Amino acid sequence: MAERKREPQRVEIYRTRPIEIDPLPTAEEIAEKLDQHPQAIKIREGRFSDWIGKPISDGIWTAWGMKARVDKRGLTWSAINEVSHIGDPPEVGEPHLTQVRYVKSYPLLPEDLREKLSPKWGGHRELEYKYEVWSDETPTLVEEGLSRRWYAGRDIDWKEMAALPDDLERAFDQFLTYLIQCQLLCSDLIGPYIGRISYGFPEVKSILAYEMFDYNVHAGVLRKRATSNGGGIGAYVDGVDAGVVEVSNEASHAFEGEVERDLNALVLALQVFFNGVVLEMLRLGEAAAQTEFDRGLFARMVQDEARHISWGCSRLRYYLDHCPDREAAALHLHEIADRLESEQTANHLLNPKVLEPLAILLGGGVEGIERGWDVLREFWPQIAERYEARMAGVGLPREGRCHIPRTAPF
Amino acid sequence: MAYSPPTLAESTERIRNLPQVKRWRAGDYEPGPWFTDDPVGGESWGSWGRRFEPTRRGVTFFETNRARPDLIPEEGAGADREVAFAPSDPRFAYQMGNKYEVWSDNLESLLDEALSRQWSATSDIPWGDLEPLPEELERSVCQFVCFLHAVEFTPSDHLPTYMSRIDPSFPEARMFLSTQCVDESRHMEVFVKRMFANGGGPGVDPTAEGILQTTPETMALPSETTRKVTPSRPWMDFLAYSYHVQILGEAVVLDLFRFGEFLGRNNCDKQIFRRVMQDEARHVSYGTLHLKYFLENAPKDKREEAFELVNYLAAVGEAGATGFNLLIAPSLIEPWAVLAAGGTANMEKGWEAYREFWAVVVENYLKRMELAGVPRWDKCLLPREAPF
Repeated sequence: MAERKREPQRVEIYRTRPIEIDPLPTAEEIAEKLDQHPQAIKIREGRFSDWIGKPISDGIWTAWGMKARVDKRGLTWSAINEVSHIGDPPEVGEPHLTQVRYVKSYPLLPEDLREKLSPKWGGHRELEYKYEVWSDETPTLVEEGLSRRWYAGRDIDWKEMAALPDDLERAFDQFLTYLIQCQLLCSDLIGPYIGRISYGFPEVKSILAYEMFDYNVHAGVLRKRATSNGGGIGAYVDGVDAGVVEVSNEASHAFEGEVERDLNALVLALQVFFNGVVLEMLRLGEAAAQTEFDRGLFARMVQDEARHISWGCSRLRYYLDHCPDREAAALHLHEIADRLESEQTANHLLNPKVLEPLAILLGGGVEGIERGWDVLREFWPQIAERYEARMAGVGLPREGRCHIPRTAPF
Repeated sequence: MAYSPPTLAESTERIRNLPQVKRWRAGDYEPGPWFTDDPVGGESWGSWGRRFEPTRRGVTFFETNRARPDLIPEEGAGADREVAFAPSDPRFAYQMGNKYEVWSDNLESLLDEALSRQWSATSDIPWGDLEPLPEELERSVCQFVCFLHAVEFTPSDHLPTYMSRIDPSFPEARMFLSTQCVDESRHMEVFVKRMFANGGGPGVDPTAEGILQTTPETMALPSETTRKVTPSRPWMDFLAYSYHVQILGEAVVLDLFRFGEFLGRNNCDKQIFRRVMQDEARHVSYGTLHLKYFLENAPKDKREEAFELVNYLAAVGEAGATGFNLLIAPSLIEPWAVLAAGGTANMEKGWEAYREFWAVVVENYLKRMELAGVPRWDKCLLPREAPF
């Protein structure tokens, strides 16, 4: 193995803080305040607020009379975006309080109060520029994510799960142990960004929530499979996160302080690179699975991972096409790619606890392990090729500088 | 220190010199101890001989955990609870590493339910069934859901941060929160879609009018106190956040959804509220029993501290700083009352229904708090009756 770090690893997120306790009013004082509350008075006087107190023509109701088209899929984000006056998100998300971009800001709320209640740092305004978060494919990919979701309870017939010889069960379970670790890591890394994205881009917040859910569903299904077919959970796979956690921590700054969060570094590290590696491993796992049931598990996950990668690629492409300084952005992302390729090849792609189980499974058992290694050798070039093709499509060509060897180094 | 990536040549050299690569190149394919050591009782393999006969429900978390409850540790391992660590493996450090911090007795069954009851805001709602409503009612539905869509962001924005702090030895808790997060996201979607589904569109900025009514004179609590307990940033302990969001805020929302089904004028609207209500009930149920679990299972000093803290948070919430301020938010309660009245011409009926609703919300909350082990019957700062 490559050199390992011995200190505890962590995905950096600031620590929680204790709550200071203040003196509170009595129930009588509160009842009195409520009795005199402007809303209570308004109700007693039979008055209404502007949402209905003012005519439609006043301009607060921005889409009155517009109806989104229901098609054979149902009612989609794209249908909403077709009719809304702000279907195409603006270049900067408005400093809204908590409403999506379709809802107009209330004209009587003073700008300084809005700014005070919705500050730039610490919440949803940290990522408020369209070029930081958007991709034109997002509304479509959200719907695809929704329509292709699968549920372990409904879509998997667990009765079809079949017993395997011990060596194959053990190899399979080790492979699952590795995949569970990967899925949980992905969830840890992407989750905290959801709350940092502007309400101007609800489709992006949604797609990331679905993605995080996918990771957890995968981890749950894989764990169920590993712990119910005679085997169990195997050995921890040290190193699969190499480079990814470090890039992520540098990008997030532990989500603390008034500093830019680099979502795009994370997208490259997680969705494009790491998910790309996991996708290749899943493809190998699908080929290596010994039963229809086990193959079916991977086939579903392959679809999901491919979607995560697809969004990641569309995101980076959009970023490079729209960010203020493409050259600097590309240079920065290339440096991250150098680091990821190098660390991930040494620690993840060549990790014995990842490749050995695959070789045993691909060889049909431990006695066929050499055959399994031959398959891995044959498959290896596709890993680098597909990754480079993906990066070229994004606008970050890696040909000639990619650290993943074009041929298997074993 | 800034990282400096190796050159291509250095990378190639590094890879060539990896011990396992040298071994494989030499044709030595003997698998490592993960495969060769005895899987039982050794250090190289986690658990072995785990078997579960699928039931008609398949393989559920509830049933698998009931079969082997001994495998759920009190303290997390920094990875899957059954995994084997080599002595040299660095462990991930998680901020929430104790079972009592995240667990609840109904966690697995809620998780199984959440996974099996996922639905789609695009395709599972009979959008095509919507018929035009009178202007007042369409405005009311749209303003009501306009408010609700915004409320959904508090959990969906911040729960993922808490999830990332939870030790993977408790995957059920992480998974449950991921289902909640995706539920909230779907609720936001279904409410946004409802705004555009029937010709109404988004209403007024949902919180603005309420904010404008908030002045030092009208506030029950000083703004400083309110700011210290806001759940709009994930810096509180999970227990405090869970109290605010899963027990208080979502419980009020749950009751709103219950009545929403009654307020719905057509099958489509009723189905929206029925579905979101089911989801929301799970979240509140987890929050309530999580608090109970914490208070029954944390070490004594933590328990006492938590009891005191939750009582304080409850008092703040009841005083109107969080959660219950929904009950007096103009662009939420006015459309509610118009829908209950069937139009603005009959508002006394609408407000009468709302007064009943207020009492039900407070009563449900007090019952829930008692169930959680924090009875507030004699302490509740919120009036049992609406102030109008």
